[in-house]
Amino acid sequence: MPHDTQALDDTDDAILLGQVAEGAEQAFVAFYRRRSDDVFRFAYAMAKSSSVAHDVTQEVFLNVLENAGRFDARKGSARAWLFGCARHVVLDRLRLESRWTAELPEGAAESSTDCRNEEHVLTAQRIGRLHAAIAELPVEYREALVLCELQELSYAETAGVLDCPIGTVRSRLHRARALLTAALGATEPDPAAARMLETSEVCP
Amino acid sequence: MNDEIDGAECDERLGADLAALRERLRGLQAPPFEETGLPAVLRARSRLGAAPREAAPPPVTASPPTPRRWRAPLAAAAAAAVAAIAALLAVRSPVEQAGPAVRPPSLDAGGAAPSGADRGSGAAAFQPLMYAPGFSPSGSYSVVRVRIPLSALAQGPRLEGTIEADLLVGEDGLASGIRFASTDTLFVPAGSR
Repeated sequence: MPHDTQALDDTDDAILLGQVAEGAEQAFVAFYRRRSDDVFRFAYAMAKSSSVAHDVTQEVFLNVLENAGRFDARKGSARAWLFGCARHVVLDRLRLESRWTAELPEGAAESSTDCRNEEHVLTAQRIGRLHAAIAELPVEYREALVLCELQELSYAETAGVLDCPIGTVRSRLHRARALLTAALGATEPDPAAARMLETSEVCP
Repeated sequence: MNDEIDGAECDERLGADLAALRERLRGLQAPPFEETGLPAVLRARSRLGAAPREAAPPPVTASPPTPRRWRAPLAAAAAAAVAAIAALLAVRSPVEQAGPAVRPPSLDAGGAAPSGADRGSGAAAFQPLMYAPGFSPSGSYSVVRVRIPLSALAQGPRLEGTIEADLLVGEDGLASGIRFASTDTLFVPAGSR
């Protein structure tokens, strides 16, 4: 996204949050429509669960309704502030959840209907394994990876969200990638076996 | 040397997979605003006459809200505010509702007080929401539990914490009633979240 557009978005977000703090409901609705996808995707990437992402999104915007007045544009972007809120809600939710119900990886559904394209199927499986491996990362590595790699926040923004130095973000990111590489290497299926598995599937 | 090449290949492949996952995530969308419980919360705020709040007083911080330590005086103030709201609602024509159900709440002409059985069981009456469609005896309703910030419900000093409430939602998706005062109402101080 061009820098100017990003700055314009940040300004708009800050204005909307100011209006929300003053009780403007339309501003709240507009802010939800602008930023709810970001929150939903972040929560989904962290928890790998659509239902959790739904709940977290609602909870985060309830927090926005309550705490919009606390946002200070001089200390960071509205998007980063929102991710900070989302992070707290997700972490609370992760702590509360005693067990997770693994959902069908998104790629899995596609693999059963698009088995004509073996490359596509293998890619979808790899991405499914990657997301599963991310969900297994220790939470401090996971949130750094999700914010930087998947939500494309800068190191500085991520440091603001995580309330830690930029160097810590870098090291957590490095560690997260190393853990992912190791985990994916350990679970990498034998290509020949994968091909056999694919050919045994019934094409619709 | 081969290890370095393998490491670079792994890193490159991981980067490509992360990019693919990022693209996949971009296809996800949050539920539309109307399909969340947020419109009902806004309606409840209007119903309870929550005045537009002023921006939070300085010092403000860009840090996201964090859980706070429980403070007894604040808790007492919050509890008093909730009790006041419940009492205020009680003087309005209440509607019977016996817990989460899909049947419409029974409604006498002009509203009826909760039965003795309901009072005894601790089930609270649903209160009609202002500007909401009335209860229909032939309609079916869902009960949706939401958590509402106390600060959204009462004016005056800023209150921490949330309270759980049940919303009576019709088939059209619009909330028609709300109830706070029941034995299963849960006050959640901000510090415990």
